[in-house]
Amino acid sequence: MAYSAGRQFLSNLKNVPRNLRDSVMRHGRPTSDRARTQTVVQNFFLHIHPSRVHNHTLKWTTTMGLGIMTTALFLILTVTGILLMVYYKPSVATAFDSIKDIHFVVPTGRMMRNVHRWAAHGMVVMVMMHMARAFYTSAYKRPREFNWVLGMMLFVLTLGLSFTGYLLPWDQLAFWAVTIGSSIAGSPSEVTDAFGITQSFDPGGRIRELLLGAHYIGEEALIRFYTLHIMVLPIALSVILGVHFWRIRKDGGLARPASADPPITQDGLKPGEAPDKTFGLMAVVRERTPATDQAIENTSPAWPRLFRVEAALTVLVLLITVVLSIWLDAPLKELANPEVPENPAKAPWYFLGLQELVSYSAFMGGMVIPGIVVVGLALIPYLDREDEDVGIWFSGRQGRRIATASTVYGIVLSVGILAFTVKFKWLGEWDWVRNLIGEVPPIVITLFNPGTVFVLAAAAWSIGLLRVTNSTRMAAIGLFTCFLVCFVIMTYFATFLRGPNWDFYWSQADWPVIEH
Amino acid sequence: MKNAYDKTMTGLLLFGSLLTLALLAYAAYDENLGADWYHHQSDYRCQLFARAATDRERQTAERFDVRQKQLYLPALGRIDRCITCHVGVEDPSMKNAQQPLTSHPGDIMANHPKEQFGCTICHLGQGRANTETDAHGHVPHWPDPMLATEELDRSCAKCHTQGPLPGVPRYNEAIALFHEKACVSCHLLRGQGGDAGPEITNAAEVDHGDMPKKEWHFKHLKDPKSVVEASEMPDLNLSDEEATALTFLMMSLTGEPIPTEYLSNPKPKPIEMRMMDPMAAKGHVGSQVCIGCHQGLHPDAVDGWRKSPMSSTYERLKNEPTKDNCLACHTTGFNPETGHYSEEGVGCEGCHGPGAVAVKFVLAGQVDKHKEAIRLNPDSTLVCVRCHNPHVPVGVHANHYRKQPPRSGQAGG
Repeated sequence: MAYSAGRQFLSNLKNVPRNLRDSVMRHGRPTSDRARTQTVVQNFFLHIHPSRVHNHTLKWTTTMGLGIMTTALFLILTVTGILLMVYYKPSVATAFDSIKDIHFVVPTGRMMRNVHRWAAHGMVVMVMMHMARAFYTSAYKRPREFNWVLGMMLFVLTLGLSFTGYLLPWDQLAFWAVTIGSSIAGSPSEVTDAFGITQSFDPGGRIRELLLGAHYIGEEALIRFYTLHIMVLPIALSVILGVHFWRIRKDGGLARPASADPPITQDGLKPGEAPDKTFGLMAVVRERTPATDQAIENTSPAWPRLFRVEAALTVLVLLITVVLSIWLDAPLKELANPEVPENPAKAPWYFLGLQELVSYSAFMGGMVIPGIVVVGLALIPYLDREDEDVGIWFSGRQGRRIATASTVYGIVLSVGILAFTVKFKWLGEWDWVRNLIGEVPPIVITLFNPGTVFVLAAAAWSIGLLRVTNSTRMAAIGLFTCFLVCFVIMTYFATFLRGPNWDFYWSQADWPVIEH
Repeated sequence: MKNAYDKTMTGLLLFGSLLTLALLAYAAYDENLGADWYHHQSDYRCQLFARAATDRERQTAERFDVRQKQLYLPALGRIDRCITCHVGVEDPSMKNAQQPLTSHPGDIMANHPKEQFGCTICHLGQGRANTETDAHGHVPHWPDPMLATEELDRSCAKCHTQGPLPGVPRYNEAIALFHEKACVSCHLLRGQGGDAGPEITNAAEVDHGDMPKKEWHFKHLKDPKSVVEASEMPDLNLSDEEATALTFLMMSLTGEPIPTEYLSNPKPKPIEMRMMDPMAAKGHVGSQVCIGCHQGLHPDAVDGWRKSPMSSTYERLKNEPTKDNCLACHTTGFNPETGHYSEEGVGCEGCHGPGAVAVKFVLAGQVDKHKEAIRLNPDSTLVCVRCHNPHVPVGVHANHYRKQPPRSGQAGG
């Protein structure tokens, strides 16, 4: 007996690796389609994926991998963020020094901070490009309307995360960028000021106070931004991201054109679909149930094809952020000094288009226009309900032509308005207006400024397209393209062509030199 | 489609991963073995071995650990990592070594141990950095680059508030001038001094628009109104050399809080705190207050007083056992009932009378009333004979008053 138990033990020992793997995996190697499916379905981390994925989804031109890359950047940000939290000290007295220490002496600290910085910028870019991709391929259409809305939430959360992270180094760049950002939040005061009721009714001041926890940017603001940055916003983003993925599956996978599948057979079913056999669980997915005993045509098992793409794109963005981080350090200016304003003080780059609008009117540029844009974007799927041409870039040739025309129109419009404003200024500085009506009331500037002119011109363009093409989709393409082009041009303009006192300069070399 | 696409992805995954790993390995190398400080310390270690003649020296060399080093200075709120490269700073045998391994010149480290003072409190620069350009601070966005050797004496005044200091002539000249011109009678410095003018504790940090600070201070000292139109500061009639010396001192006033235990004179002589609120002052205010303006207005008179025996008359009797008998004439503002006085020696108010009221007038801009309140009747000699008693000649007065009963000394009657 003893002898046989000893043999048994040795055999157990030998089989530990295999038995361990079997107990973890619960299925064999993913060599058959069935095992591949199980690999996905029975794995806690993978089962948010479909077990089979449509070949059209895997095509490079369908998504360009933008969503995966955005997610990969979020993962990189989470990991590097947690590492940075180990050394970062969120207090006015120590924050700046702790960043210096992270840069100079914390092992791999400089790399982690640089990767975090570049991944953050990358995520903002990617999330916008992902949104543009989803828009131009009509991926927001029924039944995916709500997933588009979730995407908008993720977009706002991404900007919020990036903006709250901006303050944490507590240097001059951070302090003054957040000063600009938080005064945008306080911009309703412009309207209450115009009516002279700010004393008794000051929503702008309240919003700003809620954000900063004080009347100035100090300890309270730093701890608020920190809490938002490391906990509130990441948790919110993770949860909504989970729902976003889940909805992809529940909405029947990624949007694809009808032509991606073989023609429907005579009895109204696609090849490979079972005529009447349905799973109770599968019924919640808006697709016909696949036959259980054979692979659906035009689909591949998620293992390994989808995962390979995900892994490859994750490595790609990691590689890009690492390369950037080796050569380009994240900026760190002087210690924040509330008494020495940066001139020009510029918000983070993705808010610079807004800052340009804010320079015309804080309330219109900082609240109303971005409000209209965000709400308008979120409502797109409910306003444009034409179901044709889902999954086709620009919905076909007409859409491509309209997108091109709208790009040209957007460029002419935004460059024209910017050039006009730089050259001739605006109402308040025009002599003939002053001679006519005296000092221009601020509320007039709030209602009528280059920003509102742009919005009206873009709206007019869209309404014109609606009439000519008789298609809400084409009108939407026109409007979206206008705003996208304007965002890019305004951001470029405010980043590179605005100098001290928000004056126009062709190049930074022309900025007046201020000695200290 | 399947094969080419999958191959691309597999290739991307494989080469992307390898390239990322390679770059991370490079970054790790660059941060440790490839860092400049690593080379410097290895070099130092080699030199220690090369020089080691005894077993003990060889052990020291063996014990030398090549790793980042720092001076943690919580009292000064600093961390100085300069010794990560300047590793031989206290090693006398490195006297002739090349930078950064050379030992600190002079004997200043004897009085300023690095564990207590660190490096950047004197040299400035970026103590937390560990690369040459960053640490020396000649990089964008670092406000305090390292001081050049000839500018180093600027840092002395941070802690040495009184002077004089052997071997630092520029500092001595400046600090003497500073006391002579009685700047603190109007300007608050480190919590002491008047408030007729702006505080100067952080004079070197205050921005003056487009003008470089050094130039501004020089112009301001030469002619205050040339840079501040509404300035009430009197023209101090400074020579260019004197203005340069005081500019140097102004540029050393960084306002950086220095812990008391670091100050050369932890308890500096209190300056009349009544000047903090001149409008509430009563009686005597002290000569410093008068000199603050009158040095500039008529320097001859003030210098005449300074050179006269009156200004230093207390010095001559401070070691007298019975000096209490003499205070009435050798101090200013003596109160026979309490035995207290406002100032050692006979200052301005010794003859002109208590100045508080006059100061109130001048601060209120009423110059005429100021003059009236302080003016001496030119015909009256009573104010002089209060002390200069014609019946007790100078030569014998000391013995005369020593015999008086204690503290009754109302000299001159």
